[in-house]
Amino acid sequence: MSAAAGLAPVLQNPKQRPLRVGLVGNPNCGKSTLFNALTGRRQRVANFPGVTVDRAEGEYRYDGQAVSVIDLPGMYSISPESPDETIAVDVLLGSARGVDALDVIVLVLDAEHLERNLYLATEVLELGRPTVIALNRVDRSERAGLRIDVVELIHELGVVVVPVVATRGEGVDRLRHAVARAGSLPHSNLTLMPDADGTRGGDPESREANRRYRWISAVCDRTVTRTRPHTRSLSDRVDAVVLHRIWGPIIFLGLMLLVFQAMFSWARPLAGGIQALVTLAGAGVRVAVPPGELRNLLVDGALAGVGSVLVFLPQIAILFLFIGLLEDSGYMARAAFVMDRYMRPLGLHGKSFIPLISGYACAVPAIMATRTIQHPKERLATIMVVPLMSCSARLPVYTLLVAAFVPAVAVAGVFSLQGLTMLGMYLLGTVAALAAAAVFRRTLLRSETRALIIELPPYSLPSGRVLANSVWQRVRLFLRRAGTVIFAISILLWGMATYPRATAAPGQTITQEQRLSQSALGRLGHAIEPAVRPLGYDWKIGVSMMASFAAREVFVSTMGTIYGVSRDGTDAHTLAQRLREERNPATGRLAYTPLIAVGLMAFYVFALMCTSTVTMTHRETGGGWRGAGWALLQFTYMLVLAYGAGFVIYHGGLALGLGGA
Amino acid sequence: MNSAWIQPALVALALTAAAAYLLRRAWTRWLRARQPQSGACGPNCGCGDDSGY
Repeated sequence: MSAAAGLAPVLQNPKQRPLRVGLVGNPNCGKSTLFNALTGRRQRVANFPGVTVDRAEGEYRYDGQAVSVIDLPGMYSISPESPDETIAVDVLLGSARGVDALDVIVLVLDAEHLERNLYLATEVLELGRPTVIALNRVDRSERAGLRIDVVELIHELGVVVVPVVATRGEGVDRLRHAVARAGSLPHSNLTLMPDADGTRGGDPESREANRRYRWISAVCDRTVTRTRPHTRSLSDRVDAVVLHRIWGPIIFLGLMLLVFQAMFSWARPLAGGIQALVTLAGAGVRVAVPPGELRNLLVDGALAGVGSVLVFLPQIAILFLFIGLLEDSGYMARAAFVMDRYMRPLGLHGKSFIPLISGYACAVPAIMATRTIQHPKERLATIMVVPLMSCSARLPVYTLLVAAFVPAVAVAGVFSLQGLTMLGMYLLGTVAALAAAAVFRRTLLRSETRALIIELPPYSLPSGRVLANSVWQRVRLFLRRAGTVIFAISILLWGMATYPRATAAPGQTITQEQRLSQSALGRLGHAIEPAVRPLGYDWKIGVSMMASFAAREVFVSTMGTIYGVSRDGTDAHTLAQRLREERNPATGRLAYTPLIAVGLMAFYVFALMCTSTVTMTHRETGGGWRGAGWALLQFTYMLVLAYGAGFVIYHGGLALGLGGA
Repeated sequence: MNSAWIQPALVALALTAAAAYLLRRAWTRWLRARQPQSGACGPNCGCGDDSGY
């Protein structure tokens, strides 16, 4: 493809349509941070390469001109090697479907790693398009003892170079000014002639790379001055421990343990506060609305359902606070490096680690994050196992069952048994993901596993603003989900659990349990009960599991609604208590036992109850029938695993005399 | 609120609205799943529309 055909003729009538600007640069050079600074958007940023895997658009106005900015995934050259790089190169060259050609390229260079970043710069400048260079992180380069002569760099590159510090917004207005004037400024006429350097031997690609690096080296000699000798940095000293063969994995496991302990112990008082608010709201409704159908719907349906999920908000926030800390500090790329040694024998590439860890948050962006993996079979294997990582939607299910059936006792005087059980569920999912990947890589997706090459970003103090934004985005999503889909399902399930109303024969009374059993929900539950009975579950769990195909948290809200209808008032803690005390009406024995709870948690570890994930797998595995095949295989193998695990745990436990229903 | 028919009517309205919302949501997700695009919408997908979560 002709690179020159990609971009539109520049700015003949700039006032008539928004100026289209693309942010291009190496991974983790600060493009998304600059995008946020330019547009005021809240695009996700973090301190590791490969955070942005799709284009994102935002706008700003400067001097009366609307400017449309496209943030692109990072790339090392314009010869893409992974799906995310392909997206960026297609937009840069104007060949992306449905995306207008760029008017101006903003090439973001990391001043701290100028020499490496200039490789892409030589390729972009050779396109001969209106280009402005944003020299980012000049503060860090100065701290590292590197002084860059910007005027000399402008002479060398032939385009405007604007020093910026995107995290603090410094230089951003000058960059806006330069972008607005890019059409009237001279374009780069950089050309590295193939025969200019006299390089001999090797393949053409190597010769070209050598030629470029030779030119870059000369440019750096003239523009970069080292103000003090290079010394072993703090990052290097920390890495000596964090990347250590023995200490590295121990530190990683210790951090994970800390996260799950914190999720249980820190969240408790906050959850108690939300619980009190939900109870207060219930009391308020009881005062404001006279007895009747509507009051029952509001208290036993909407509040019982939504409230039982809302109490898990603090745990969601704490989980994302820790994920944000790990990402923004620069630790995530180190963890990938540490875990590569253990993942490679299983056939997974070290780059699979970051999508897998992202899966603790949500499988949807985690599957998209696999776009950084170059080899198709390694990427496909990662996509197939990512949903086994326990996402945040499973958290309310685990927490409810752990709170109900695992005693809050200390282990070794430090850890709580509840926190350890929670960690166990996450570890179970992680081990299952790695094992499933090993199976895929030895059967359907067999290929050689390549060595990991990953850029380790310097450690940085996590930005409070970035962390707050990351946590807020997730809290907002959770609240929106609780206020929309969970609210609607709770109302509908209340209707199904209430109607048709059972009528008592003259002279007889009818219990709430009998009413519930004869309702539409009860009848549906009894119809599907034979399918879940082998796992030790009753119809209430069966119905809640079925409803949770809409969203996993709906399991908790459905149980909340069912118990709200069957008794007056409910809350998460009493819901846990009621689960403990629930008796089978036929046998009079406890309906739910710790054995059933463990089996149920294992079911949720393995089952793929998320339509968004199925859709994403379908798209990212090629779409059409091919994508449908992979999505179906993923759903089926996970369902078989889930059912098998629930069955084995329940019957194995019974055989060992651990008790059941 | 004390009229006998008001509460059942409001309940019927709420149930209908909830069912309509869930059906509409399922329909829009189905339509979105069929649209070709470079990436789906989801939390942190970058396109800013995370309603598919």
